[in-house]
Amino acid sequence: MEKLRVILDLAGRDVYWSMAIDEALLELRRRDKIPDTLRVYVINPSAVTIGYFQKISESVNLDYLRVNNIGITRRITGGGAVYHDSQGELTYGVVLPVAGMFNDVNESFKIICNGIVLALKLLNVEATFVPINDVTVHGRKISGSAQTRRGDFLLQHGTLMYGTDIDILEKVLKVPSVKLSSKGISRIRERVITLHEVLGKRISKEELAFILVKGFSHALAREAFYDEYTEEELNLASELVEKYKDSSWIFKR
Amino acid sequence: MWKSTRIVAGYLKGDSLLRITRVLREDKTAEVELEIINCSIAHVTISGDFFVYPEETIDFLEVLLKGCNNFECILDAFNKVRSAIIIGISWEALEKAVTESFRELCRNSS
Repeated sequence: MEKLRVILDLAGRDVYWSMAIDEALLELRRRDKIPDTLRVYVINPSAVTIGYFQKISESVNLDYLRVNNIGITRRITGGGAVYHDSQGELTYGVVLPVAGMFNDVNESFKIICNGIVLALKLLNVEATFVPINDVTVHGRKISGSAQTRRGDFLLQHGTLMYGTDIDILEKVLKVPSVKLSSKGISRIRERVITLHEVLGKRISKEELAFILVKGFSHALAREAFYDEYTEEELNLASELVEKYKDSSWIFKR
Repeated sequence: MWKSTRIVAGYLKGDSLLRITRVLREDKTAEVELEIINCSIAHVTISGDFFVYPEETIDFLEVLLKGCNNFECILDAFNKVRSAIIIGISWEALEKAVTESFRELCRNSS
């Protein structure tokens, strides 16, 4: 069975470093310096990322972020705005070749997101992949993902809300009314759910991280082996982090 | 299939509508904001929660559209990017939003 390198980074890094490491992994995979890699991590302190194409002023409540000292950066991936709760969300990032079953974008989203579905199944939670890039439980979103491609490789990263503070999420994110109404809802809260709500009990991020790794291993048909960051990964990330802190990048549109 | 579109804002100078923002919704949401000067595209922003590969295609499209003062120019710009993969919104819907906005603004500009 093919291998999947796994890095657990659960102590938490800020959102700029977190995005920089994801991009570093993609770039180094492209250069064939590292193998296919899955990273499960925590963004700490809590922060926001917006999609590459989003208009920042219309995606998030900038005043609320400023008053509450919540950081924000723009991702290299498309998709929507995400509130990353340091006490309630695990984020994953996986770099894989585009070849074979990952060639088609929609199919690749489905296969990789199935890692979340299978992980939740291990917790006896019935989850559903909803195209293009969501996983839902009881019809409510528990995970979202985004993907970019460079050459023959892809980076897909996404979230699993295990205990996200939905009150804060609602205050942080702006969702176009046309999007809410298209889903027949009027508030973000009606659209999302956390694992703690589903289970009726808390689960530790450590336990959940290992379950996520199992889920992705099954979904990707890979045997996981645990590893640490290489010096090259951290060095490249230290160069890339400046971009994610740069206001001209963050406020690009 | 293009499900819905609506004008959310228009900027008036005198009697002329110079900037228009359209929101379109397919599987994802996109917003096209167009601004003209003397019936020539001065500024265009295409934003939303869709996916495009490579992502820089949208930046490139916005540059191509700038300075367009007729529909052929707009069509030509979209033809140059149409081979890029777009997920959640169609090139057809974006092109229609730009051309209809351009038509609306030029009709109203003096």
